[in-house]
Amino acid sequence: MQAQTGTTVSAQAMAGNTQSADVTDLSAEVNDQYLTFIMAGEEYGVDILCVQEIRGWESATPLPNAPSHIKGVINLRGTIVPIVDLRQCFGLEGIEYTSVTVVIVLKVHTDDGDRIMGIVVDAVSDVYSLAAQDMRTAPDLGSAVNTEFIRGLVNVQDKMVILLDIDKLLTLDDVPNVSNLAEQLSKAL
Amino acid sequence: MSIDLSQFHQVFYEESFEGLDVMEAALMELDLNNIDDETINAIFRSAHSIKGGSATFGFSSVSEFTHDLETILDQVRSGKRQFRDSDINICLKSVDCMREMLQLLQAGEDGHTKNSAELKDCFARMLAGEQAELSQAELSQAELSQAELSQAEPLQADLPQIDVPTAAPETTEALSQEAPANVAAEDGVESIWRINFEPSEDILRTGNDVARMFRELAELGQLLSIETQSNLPPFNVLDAEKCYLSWTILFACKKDKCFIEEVFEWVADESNLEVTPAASAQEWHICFVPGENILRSGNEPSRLLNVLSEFGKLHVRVNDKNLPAIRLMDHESCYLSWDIYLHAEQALTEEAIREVFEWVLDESQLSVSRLASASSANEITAVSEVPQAEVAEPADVVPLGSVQNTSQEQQITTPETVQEKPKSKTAVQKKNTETGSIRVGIDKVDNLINMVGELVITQSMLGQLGTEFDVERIPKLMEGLGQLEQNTRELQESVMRIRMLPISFAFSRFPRMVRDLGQSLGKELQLVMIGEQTELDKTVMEKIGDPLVHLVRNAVDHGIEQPEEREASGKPRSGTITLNAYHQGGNVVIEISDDGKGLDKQRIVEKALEKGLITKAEVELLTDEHAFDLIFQPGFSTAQEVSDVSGRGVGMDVVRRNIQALNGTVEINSQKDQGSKITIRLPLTLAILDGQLVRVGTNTYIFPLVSIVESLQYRKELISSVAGGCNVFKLRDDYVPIIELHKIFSVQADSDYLDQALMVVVESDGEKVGIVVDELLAQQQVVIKSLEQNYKRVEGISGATILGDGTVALILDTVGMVKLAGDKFGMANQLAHLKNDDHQNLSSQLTG
Repeated sequence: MQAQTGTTVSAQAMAGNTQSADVTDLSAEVNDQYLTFIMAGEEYGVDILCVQEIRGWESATPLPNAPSHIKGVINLRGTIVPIVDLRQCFGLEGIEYTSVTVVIVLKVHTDDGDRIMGIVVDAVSDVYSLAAQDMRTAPDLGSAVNTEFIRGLVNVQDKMVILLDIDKLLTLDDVPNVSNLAEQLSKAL
Repeated sequence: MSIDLSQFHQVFYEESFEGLDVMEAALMELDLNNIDDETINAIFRSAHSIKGGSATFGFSSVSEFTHDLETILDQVRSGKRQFRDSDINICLKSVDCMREMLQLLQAGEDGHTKNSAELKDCFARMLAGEQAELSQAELSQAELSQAELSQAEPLQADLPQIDVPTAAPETTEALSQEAPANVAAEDGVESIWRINFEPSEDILRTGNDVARMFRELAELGQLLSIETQSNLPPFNVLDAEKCYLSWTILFACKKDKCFIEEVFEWVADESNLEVTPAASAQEWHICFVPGENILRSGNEPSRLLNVLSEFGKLHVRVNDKNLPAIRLMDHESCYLSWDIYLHAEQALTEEAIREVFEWVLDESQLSVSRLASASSANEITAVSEVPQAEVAEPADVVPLGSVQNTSQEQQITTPETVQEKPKSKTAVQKKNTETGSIRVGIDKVDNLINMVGELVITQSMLGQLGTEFDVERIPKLMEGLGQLEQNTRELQESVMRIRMLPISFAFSRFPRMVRDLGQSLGKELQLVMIGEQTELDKTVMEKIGDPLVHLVRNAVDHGIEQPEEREASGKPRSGTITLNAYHQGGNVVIEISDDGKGLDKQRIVEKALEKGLITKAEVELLTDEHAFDLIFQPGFSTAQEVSDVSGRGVGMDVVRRNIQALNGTVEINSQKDQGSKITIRLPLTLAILDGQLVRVGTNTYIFPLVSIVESLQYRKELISSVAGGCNVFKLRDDYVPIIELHKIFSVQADSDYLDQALMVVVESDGEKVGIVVDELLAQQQVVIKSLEQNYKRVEGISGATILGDGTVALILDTVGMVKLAGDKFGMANQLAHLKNDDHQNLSSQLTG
């Protein structure tokens, strides 16, 4: 728990003054805190309790015959951690990694126990405290798009934030490959 | 206060399973013609611990069962019962049954099984049958056991029941004069202590309050007198904060000396404290009833008496009531007991006397009591209820044989029997099973602590260098770093050693197995185990167990012939199976050999043809070695009929797969009618591997060094390409298929032309394969990290490691790579072709 609290603090510090007072009021009926990040202009959120740490990009060792969204494995203090490019995972165009590219290290709960995985995103954005009633379930996008990995949608300052269920997302056998997820979702709403 | 006993259940199970293993091993060791007491005792101790433990935790099913077993063992131990081969069988069955019962209990079920009921009936018959044979003199012993048995087992109502106390006339009589004292002993006897307390002058400054200590003492017992001695200096030099007083206290309490000392614990360092029993000259009464076997274990009662006589004058009365009729007398047993009155010249404690008997306490009855003596009487008249004696031993005295049978509760209350426990533990320690925990020798831990100590010193040295660094101290820094490297390596080695266990843990199950198999197959067998102390990583050990079982079973079933057949071919009737383990290089080699009939090449070939594993054309070219190799193919078994033991056709292929999963190899050697030998080679550990680093493009991969046969320059003229797109390389007389690493891994190599490349010839699944890489880098030890932990299995990769620069490198799995190449480029056919060693065929294809 301690480590996770520490992460919260650092995540908040990174988010800086972009924090909006109305949603981070901790005295309110808070159920969950979400760390959000930006990818291709859209904001996504993950349960902050799953976040282990946020680190800069460092080159990973590629795995043979791995799908393109698996960037490889890195050494995280002695543990071998696979890195997933969430952009490519969503079928977005990959971008060049720089020293400011962010890797969010997550603890994923699977049937075989916890796994540590890293996701590459454009930038970390904010930490929101959300009550369950603020969240809307994702609309059905038809059979073509698997929306199982979306925990819900929430509006923060008139902007849609897609909350991801990383346990489902990162244990999918296939990439969801939903190129314009945000667009589709807002249309469906 | 209630304690949740369930938290100890796991420990109980572990210890019990270990105990069962000890019993099993000891039963196997037992030589019926010459029964060794120590072995019987080991069996007995284990059974007893299990019984005690299960009774404590309320597992009545196990404790009742063990109790019966123990009764029989006890008769064996005391020489009352002839131990026969059939008895050993029953005991072994009971061990299995107890194991089963414990497993049931562990699973949260009631521990009664069908077997246990049957065996209990069997015990009852054994005991009842024996009774008739027993002579009059032994009757009381046997009846006692019966009585105990009938308590545990109502179905034996027809047996005579005799009350336990009346069965012990001699001891009760001998102790009759102490009887009242003994009763008092139950809640501790009051004794008088003289406490000399001379605190240091500064005691008050450190915040200690003498008055408080006295109050505390008063809570423990009765302060009879406090004498204060003052050592006051002249008034003008007196320091009000110093303590100039000392005290002599006469104190009566029921507690031990250590409780008194505890009161003064905080000031003991700075004070003179003497706690002595108040009487100076003492009369002691010692009643010593040795176990019958005391002489066999090398103890000499007369020596004990000699030592006692050093304390003072002795009056000894020998009690020979126990002497049996002369025809029943065993000249090695001790039937005497002694009443000793000791007039000690100096102050003595009970412990001091008990210490004399230290070595025989386990097997003897000892009661030590102090009698009030004339000289001490006047000192303690102040106390009205002066104790007659001081007895720590529990009051109820039972005869020899059953002393160990007393319940667990009693064991816990008497310090002597508690001491017995660690002893049996050391025996248990030798035969640890593959439970979740590991028992590590204290020397290994001490060694580790030393290393850590050195590491800390190096760290502080480097830290100091860092804070006040200047360029001139670079040599010092280099030295420090060198030291650090050495410390790290040593530490790593020590930590690895913790995981190493002697291979006897895996071997220990075989004596029993071979015996049982021999009986069921009607073969006479001998098992020889060599190099049981060879150490092996715990994980490897756990995984090698099942393959070894398979191999030993095969050796017994297929290898060793029936005794008649053996005699006919001029061999000794009993077949020998040898398990041999030793270190060779970085490997552990385990050999399983038998002197049986050996592998029949003809039959193997026939079978292989029948199963379609080889073609007729190939038979001609088949060498012995390759023929024997066929038995490792799935679905291959030459046993004439499927037996309980082996022959279902699973076995050797599973053996090979398991061993390969451990990065090991297995090979077979056989001489017809001479026997066969299977050699398993295993890496010492799964956690560290000697690796050859190679580079392909920008990627670094690691080959396990053991799998590399040789590395050579790629030479175009030696390459031929065969149909299907697979290249082969002519390596001396062999044709070796080539796998291009960059192709199967879909990575970029330096160039697609093979001219510049190097080829690493590795052995995969017994076949050579050439793997093309760009460059050979260093050879180094790497720590294996799992990829599967956070990701999933990657074909062709067995794991990952972290290199010196912190980056991750992948460890190659040669078998997986061949498979990958086969899947990717349809090489499977070619390889299968090669595997059947149809080289001739191939070369004709190449030249033709």
